[in-house]
Amino acid sequence: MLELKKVGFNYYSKNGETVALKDISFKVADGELISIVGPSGCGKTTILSLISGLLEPSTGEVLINSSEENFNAGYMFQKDHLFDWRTIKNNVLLGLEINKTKTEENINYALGLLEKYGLKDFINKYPSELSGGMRQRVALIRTLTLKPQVLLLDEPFSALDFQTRLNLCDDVYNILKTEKKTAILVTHDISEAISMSDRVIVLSNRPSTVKNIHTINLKNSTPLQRREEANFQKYFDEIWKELCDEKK
Amino acid sequence: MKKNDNYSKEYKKYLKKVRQKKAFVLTSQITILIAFFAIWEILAVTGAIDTFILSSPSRILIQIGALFKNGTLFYHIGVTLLEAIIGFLIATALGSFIAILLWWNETLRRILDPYIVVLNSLPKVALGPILIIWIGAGMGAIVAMDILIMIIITIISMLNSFISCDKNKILLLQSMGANKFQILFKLILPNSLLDFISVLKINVGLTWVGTIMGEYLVSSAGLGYLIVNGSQVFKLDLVMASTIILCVLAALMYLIVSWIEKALKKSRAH
Repeated sequence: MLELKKVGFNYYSKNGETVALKDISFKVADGELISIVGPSGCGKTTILSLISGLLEPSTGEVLINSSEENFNAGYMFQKDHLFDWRTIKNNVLLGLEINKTKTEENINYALGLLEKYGLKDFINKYPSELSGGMRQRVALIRTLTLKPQVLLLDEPFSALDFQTRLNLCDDVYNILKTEKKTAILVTHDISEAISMSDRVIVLSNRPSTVKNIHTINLKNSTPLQRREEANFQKYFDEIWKELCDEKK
Repeated sequence: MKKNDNYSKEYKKYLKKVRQKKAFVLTSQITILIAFFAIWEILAVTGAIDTFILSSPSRILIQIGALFKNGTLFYHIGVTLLEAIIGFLIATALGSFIAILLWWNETLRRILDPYIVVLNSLPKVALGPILIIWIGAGMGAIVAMDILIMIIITIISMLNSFISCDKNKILLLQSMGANKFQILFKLILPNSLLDFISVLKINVGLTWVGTIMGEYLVSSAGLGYLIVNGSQVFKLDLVMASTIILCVLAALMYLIVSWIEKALKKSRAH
């Protein structure tokens, strides 16, 4: 279980000190998928950096299983950031090379993931030969190869066209649930947040605090189907209103 | 061309047009070259131009033949080529290495920034006399001149390429636990390959500027030496012959780099 306890974060620049985050507290259970939405510039990405350990919180603490030990977080970005000069296989094995854990077992695990999620025929191709949606799937598998305890998804769908985006949402959702991964999705797309997650955290303007946490109860098991449900619109309206209040 | 039978008539017509265009361009290029030398020769033979000042293709050929006969042709070519290649290799390698150091250490980069800017705008030829005094009149000073001309632009180009790497790509590697060495070797260097090729292409041109400049300042051998020497005693045949040999050498070296470029890009083009 991942927990943020009264986390605050200050930016320093020549022009002064900016309080980006203030008293952010929430918990994420194992296997849960939560989304963070909020006004632009409210520090959503900063929260991910704090969880991954790339930034240290100014106040408060980030705990994993109630301790402050280092843990393993994997990223997925807006751009896939696949390396053009590496084949799909070698892109996926990048993390293992860096960790120096390129064992037979780990390689087979990575190749197994590629095969399981329909990318087997592409392992010896280069990124430029794949479509945008496929490339993002490879990027997700590259991250999963390191068996991260938490996945941090930083607007991974926003660079894609609408159709690819909806399909990829389903794919990613399916992969995360099949592999039983804990994940935090940062997005500015309310529909995307509701359709994918178990809970949606709404942040306020800077200095950001948790404004509300919505537990999403939808029956269907894929994001695309969930978008059709009657309750979907209800959640959308509530969150939309909260965000509109913030903009004022 | 077996597949040809499957192509439509229109497509074949299109292909023919493309081929014709290519042939026309090539023929025109060759015609210009031949016409240039032919007209030059005719004007010289008919006495329309003064061969003492303008030389002529036949006199240039005779001059090259004479250099060949007395055995100095390949000696002078060899000296200049050696200087150009040594300068090219050292400047490219050292410049790239310094760029890596500056990428590695941001503080060092900020400290040295104004010096690099000043050195870049300084006409490097102005340092020629100093180099001669410090290094001595010889090949060393020429190669040093050559390196100076290339190294600053190499450092600036490569450094710009290194620091323009996407920040999120670096973040990605950091989240995988990469150290700075791994970021350098797995990301920064391969990411800058295409920029490195452009630097090679710039340097392969600049190295001739540097070498000939150096030979003008101080030399006892080489094509630059022949040009200066020839012009001082008004032996325009020698000046023209050396210049033409230089053209051919520069073109050949450029071709080699283009070939390397093609090979590298092919390994990347997917």
